[in-house]
Formats: sequence, structure tokens, C-alpha cells
Amino acid sequence: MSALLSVRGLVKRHRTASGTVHAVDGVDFDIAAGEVLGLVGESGCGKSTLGRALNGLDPADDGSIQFRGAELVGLGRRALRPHRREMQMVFQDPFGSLNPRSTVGAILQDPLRVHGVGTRAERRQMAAALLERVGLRATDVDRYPHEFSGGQRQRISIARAIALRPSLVICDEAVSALDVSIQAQIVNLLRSLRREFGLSYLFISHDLAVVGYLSDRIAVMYLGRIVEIGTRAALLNGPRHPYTRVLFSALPGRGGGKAQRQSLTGEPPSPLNPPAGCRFHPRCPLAVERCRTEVPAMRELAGGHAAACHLAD
Amino acid sequence: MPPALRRFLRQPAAVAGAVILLAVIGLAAGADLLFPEDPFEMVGRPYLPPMTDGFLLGTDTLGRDLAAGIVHGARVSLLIGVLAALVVTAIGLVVGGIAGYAGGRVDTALMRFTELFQTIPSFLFAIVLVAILEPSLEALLIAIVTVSWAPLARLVRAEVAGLRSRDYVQSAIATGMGDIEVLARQILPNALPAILVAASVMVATAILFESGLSFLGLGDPNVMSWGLMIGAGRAAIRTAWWMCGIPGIAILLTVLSINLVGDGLNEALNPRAGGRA
Repeated sequence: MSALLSVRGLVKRHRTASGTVHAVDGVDFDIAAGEVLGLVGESGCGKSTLGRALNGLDPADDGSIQFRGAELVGLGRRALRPHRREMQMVFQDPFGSLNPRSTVGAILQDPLRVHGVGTRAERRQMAAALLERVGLRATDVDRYPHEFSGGQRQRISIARAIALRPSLVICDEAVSALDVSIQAQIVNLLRSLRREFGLSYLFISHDLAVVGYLSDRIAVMYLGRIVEIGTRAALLNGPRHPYTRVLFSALPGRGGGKAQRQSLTGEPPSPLNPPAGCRFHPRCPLAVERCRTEVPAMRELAGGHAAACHLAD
Repeated sequence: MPPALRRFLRQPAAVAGAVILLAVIGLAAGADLLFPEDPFEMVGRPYLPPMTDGFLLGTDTLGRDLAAGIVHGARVSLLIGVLAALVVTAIGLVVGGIAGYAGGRVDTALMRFTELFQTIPSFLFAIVLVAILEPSLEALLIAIVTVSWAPLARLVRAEVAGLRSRDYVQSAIATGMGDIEVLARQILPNALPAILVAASVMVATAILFESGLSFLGLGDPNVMSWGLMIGAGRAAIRTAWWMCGIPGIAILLTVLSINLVGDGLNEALNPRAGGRA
């Protein structure tokens, strides 16, 4: 498998007044060209921080990010620039991700202009074409973001993200703020864009149904670490980590109804002071003594399916 | 008509302020046509009350025409007010922009430096500066700017720091846009309303500073200004109220009008009630 993106031992710490938070604490994963990796987890588990570390908005503190054969960790903004052309981002809030004082045309032309693509007239045409591609009208270029609905704005965000024909698009909760009916439209748009341009996505979401629909592989994150990763089928049909099981039992139509639905007790522990051993052990229904002391390593269970649990064998 | 202008014109107080301000500007612009003579010239009997002997606003203790003084003084007041506001805004944009955008140590260092200027009582500080620099218009300007740039820099910093974390700014950075372009194209246009309002109030503050310093005899002695007129008429205030009263009213009206316009701009540019969509 030729990896488009290869992340190893990625660490991102936030220093706060009350101590250092290891928001991302040693994360490994790959994304192949044209693949969609879903990244799921509770809020606060570090999944958004991971996305921001990948494209250098919150530079990683340690580890390695190999993107298209180049190491990104440690690069300055200038050196990062050519790589950013290949890695774009779609943000969660459709009302906050478009500059209210720019026309939609200017918003779509910004990435093209920054990377010196085309002449002014060509960029204008490209912006109009992009709008049509994401299901809006070419004449919308002269309108302002506040004239559009949330779903339409998210279409504009997506158009901006694909303007440079990147190889990877990081979608950080890209549909979470939308109504369910609009969500479906946006997810289908993402799917058809992927087919058309051979895009890869890192699809970050807490919504398992959406992730399950869109992803080839799924990674489950808990408190700064990936606890299980595998193909969609492997994770949906045979989750091995207790956390994944609990998470996926909440999916409607899975796990055989309410009786078997598991729920977690308690809140996720504070990332300021994560528990020793397996980070999930205080909430784990299966925890044994070993889980309290020994950090479980990621172990390959079957082709491409790995989990970090002492009990997964 | 742009919606912001429409929202401005809907406010009677703001429109009244704009009308007064335009009148003051008109008087200042036409000063040489209306009163071609030097306002320091003694042209009539001293102590003439308003509306006597053809002097609309009377004369002062030395027989100088108060109307000429008011009209020529408007120039000084507006000049000082506008120049000071421009320079203060420029400094505020640079210092506050860098501090708010860079964050971290740069921010801390710049803001501690800014606070240094805020700890000294500003009017006393201005008096000391003018006394050191020899009274002149330039000295007044330098003094006023030195004592008033800090609050604006802090305002710009707060705006920029707040906007910096917005997704559209993050998106521009993630695209690879350079810092200066991010500041100029993404952040400042969105910070502009707040800065514009603060700058307009700064004009009024600077006019008050100039009047206060001139009243104390620290203004430019060769230029007729409202503060100077009040200072000169001060001794006669019990017998001839108009010598202090009329320039006082001029200051009051001008400052009031600018503040009204500033409030109106605030309302027009930062609409709160349902204006976001």
C-alpha cells in the first residue's frame, strides 16, 4: 500500500495554566491515495487537534508526518506552503469559516491566488466553475456568505477546499453542524467529488453513522490515542476494543436493539491527568488488574485491523 | 444606498451630529473667506457683548472679534483632532495588529509596553511633554498622540486576537496565505467597524486635549484656538461670560457632534439586532 499520508508517533501538547494537556499523544496511522479514513471519538479526545496538527495550524510537538514522501513536522510556514496546496481543510462551522466581508468569488479565488494559479480572469472562471460543481449557481460569485444557508455555505467551503485540486482534504466535523437532510446532501457531494478527483479524506466526526457511510477505514480515538483502527467492515462487524464496542452499540440497527446497547458510565477522564495503564480502564466494563498498570500496545489482529487492548486476542 | 448608510441615517441623533459636524467643517474650510483678517487683530472696542456694533459674537478683552476666533479656531481643533486620530489609529493598528496576531511573547512584551503609557495620568503627561517640547502645533500633536495611542492599540489587539481564531482566518492560513495578507484581507476588514468608532471618538478626545492645553497656555501661541480663547477670557468671566462661554459652546457642540457620529457609526457598522443574516 503506497501511503499518501503516514503519521507516526504524533504528539501535540497544549500548555495551559493548570498543566500540560497531551491532546494527541503518540498517534500512528496511514491514509492511502484515494482512501477515506474516518476518525471518530468523543469531543475532547483530540481528533480536531490531530487534524490541525496535520496541516500545520497547530504544529506537532513530536513525531513524524510523511505526506507525499516529504516530512512535514518541523517545517516552517514558508516550507509548508507547497504541501498545503495538496492538503486542504473543511471546517465545522459553516457560519464561521467564510469571511463575512469577502464575496464568494473572492473566497474561492484566495487559494488560487495565493498559489499563483492562472490569471485573474482564469481564476474568476474557475471560481464560477467550482460553484457549479458543488451545486450552486455560477452567478453566486458576487454574493456574500450571509446570503447563503448553512448547507450552501458548507458547499462553498468544500469548493474552496477543492479549488487547488488537493490530494487530501481534512474534514473536521464538516457536516456536524447541519440538519440531517442537508448532511446527506453534503456527504453525497463529498463522495462524488472523491470519485471525480481521486481525493482522499480524513473525515473527523463524532457521528458514527456518517463516518460509517463515507469511510473505507475507521480509526477510533480515545483521550489522545488511537485505540482501534481497521476497515469499515471489520470495525462495524467485529469491533475488538471495548470502547469501540460501546461506541458502535449506540448505532441504530446494530447490536440487536436496546437490550444490548451498552452505555458508558462516567465522564472521560481529564486529559490533564490521564489514568495510568490503559486510559480507558476506569470506564471499561472488562478491565482487569493488568489494565491499571500496563499501557496496551497497538496489536495487529488481522489484516489491517489493530486494537490497543490487553484483552483483544 | 449601502445598508450601513441607511442604518446611519435612521438614527436622528447621529444625523444631528453629522449636520453639526459638517457645519463646523464648513466654517473651518471657509474661515479665510468669512474672516479674511488675522483673528489676533484688534478690530473693535473690547468687551462688546454679542450682536453689538456688527460683531455677531462680540469682542474679547483686547477687542478681537470672537466670531473670527471661533471660525479660525475650528481649523485648529479639527486639524489637531483628525491628525491625532489618524496617527493614533496608525500606531494602534501596527502595535495592536502585531500583538494580537503574533500572540505569545511578542504580545506580552508589546502589551506591557503599552500599559506603561496607560499608568501615567494622561493630561499631566501631556502637559509635561508640551512643556519639554516648546509649545507649538507639532508639540501638541506629539503630546496628544503619545498619551492616547495605548487604548486604541489595546482595542485593535483584542479585535485581532479574537478574529485570529475564526475559522475563515485559520482556513486562509491553512491555504498558505502570508501573514500580512491574512491580517490585511481577512482580519482587519472585520475589525474595521470597532476601530473606526474608536478613531472617531479619538478625534473628540484630541480636541478636548488641545483646548485644555491651550487654556493652560501650552498651546501654540501663534494660532487662534478655542482653548486659547477661553484662557484669555477667563479673567473676565464674571463680567463678560461670552468670552469663555462661546468658545466653550463651540467645543461642546463639536465634541458632542463627533461622539454622536461615532455612536451612529457604531450602530450602523455593528448592527446587533438581527443584523447578522
